[in-house]
Amino acid sequence: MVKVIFANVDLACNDEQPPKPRSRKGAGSERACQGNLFGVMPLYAPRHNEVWATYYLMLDAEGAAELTRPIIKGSTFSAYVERIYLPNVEDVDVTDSRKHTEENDAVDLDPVVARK
Amino acid sequence: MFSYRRLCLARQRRRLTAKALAEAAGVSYVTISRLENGENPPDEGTVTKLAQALSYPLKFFFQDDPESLDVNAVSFRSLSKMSAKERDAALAAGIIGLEVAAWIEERFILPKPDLLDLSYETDPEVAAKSLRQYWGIGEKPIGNMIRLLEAKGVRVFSLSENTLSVDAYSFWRDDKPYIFLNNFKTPERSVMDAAHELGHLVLHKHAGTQPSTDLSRHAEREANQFASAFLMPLNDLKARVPRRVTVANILKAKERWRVAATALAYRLHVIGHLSEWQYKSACIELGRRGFRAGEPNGIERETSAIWQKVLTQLWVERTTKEEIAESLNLPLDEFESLIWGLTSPSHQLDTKHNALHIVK
Repeated sequence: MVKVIFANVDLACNDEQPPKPRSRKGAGSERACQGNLFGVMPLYAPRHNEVWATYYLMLDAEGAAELTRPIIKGSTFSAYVERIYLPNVEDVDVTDSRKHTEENDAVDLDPVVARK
Repeated sequence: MFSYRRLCLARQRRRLTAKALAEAAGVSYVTISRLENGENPPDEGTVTKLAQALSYPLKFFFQDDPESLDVNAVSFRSLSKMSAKERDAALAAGIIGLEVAAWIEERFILPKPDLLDLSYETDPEVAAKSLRQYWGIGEKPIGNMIRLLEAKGVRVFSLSENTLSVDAYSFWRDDKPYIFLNNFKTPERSVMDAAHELGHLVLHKHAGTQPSTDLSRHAEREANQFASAFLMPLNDLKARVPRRVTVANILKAKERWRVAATALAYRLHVIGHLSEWQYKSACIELGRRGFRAGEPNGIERETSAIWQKVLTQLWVERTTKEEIAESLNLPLDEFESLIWGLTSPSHQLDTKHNALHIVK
C-alpha cells in the first residue's frame, strides 16, 4: 500500500542534484520512510511493518514535481528508493511522443494540369 | 438569339430585383418581366441598356441557354438563414462556374474525378476512413485540402459572396464534382467547409438536400462528422494528443491538422478525450482568447494549384485575365470572383485595383 505526503523541496526532477526538503524531517517521518534500500531485490522474509510504502510529492519553487520514495536520515532525505518525475502537462510537446516519425508527414498532392 | 434565361442569370448575379433592374436600365418593369418570361424578343436598344445596367457584355445574352442548377440538387449549408436573393446569387455563380469549368476543360486536361460513392455508408467516421484508404493517404494530416480535392478531380471555385450565411455548396454535374467555397471565412474554416462539401459529394451523391427538412439536417450533421473525421483521423489524434488535454495543448495541436481550435476541441470531446465539463471550459477559454470569432495565429489561406497553373500557362501564352473573361463573354469581375482567393497573391494583385476608386 502507498502513502503519499507532500513536501516542498529545493529542486525537483534533476538527475544531478537529488531533492532535499525545505523543512527538517522529524522522527515520525523517519520511521515512516524506513525503506528497504534493496527495493528491487526479491524479499524472502518480508517484514510486516513495511506494508506501507511512503512516497513524497515533492514540489520545488519552479513548479517541477516528482513522486519519490526517500529514505530519511539526519532530518533530511538521504537516499531514494524510487523517483518518478511528473511532467508538467503544459510543457509536453504534442508531437513529442512520435518525434521519431518525420515531422512533416502531411499529405500534399499536386494536381496535374496539361495543355491540350 | 437572345436568351431570356441569361438575362435572369445576370440579374441574379447582380442581386437586382426585376424592378431595380428596370430602374437602372431606364426601361419599364413590364419590359423586364416580359423578357424574362420569354414572351417577346427584345429590340437591340433595350438589350444594350440592360447589358450596360448589369455591366455584362452584350454577347453574354446571345449564347445558348445556361445550364440550370436546381436548389434541391445542391448541398447548401444553412439554407434557412439565407435570403432568396443570396441563394439565387450563389446558385447563379454556380452556373457561371460551370461555364468557366467547361472553358478550361476545352483547353486543359484536368485530373479525372476519383471519388468514392459512399452513400450506402451509415457512419460518417467509417466513410471518412474508407475514402482515406481508397486514396492511400492513411491517417496523415492533410497539408492542403483544396489541392487534394483538385488532384482527385473536384473542381473548386470561389464564392465571393460577402455574406456569412453562404458557407459553401457542392454538386455533381455530368459525373464531375464541383465545390464552391466562400473565401470570406478564416482559412481554417474554409478547410473545414471544403471537407464538409467533400462529405456531401461522397455521402449524398444521389440525394439532393431538401431545404430545412429533417433529412437535410441529418445530411448536414453527417457531412460535419465526415469533415471532422476526415481532417482529424482518430488514431493520429489519439497518438499525438496527450490524455490530459489543456487549452495550450489544443492550440499547439491544431497546427498539425490545420483546423480551428474549437473544431479540434469538439473532436476531442467526441472521441472522449474531453469530458462534457472540460469541453465546456475549453470552449469558454478559447472564446476568451478570441478563437470563437476568429482564429488568431491561423494558417495561411489555401490556394488552388489548378488555377495557378492554368493562369500561369495562359500568361506565358500572353493571354490575360481580361482576354479569358472576354472569350467567356463574362464581365471581368464575375470571372475574378470565381477564382478570387484561390490564386496566389501575385495573381490577386490585379484584382485589388478594381477596388480602388478615383478620388477627385
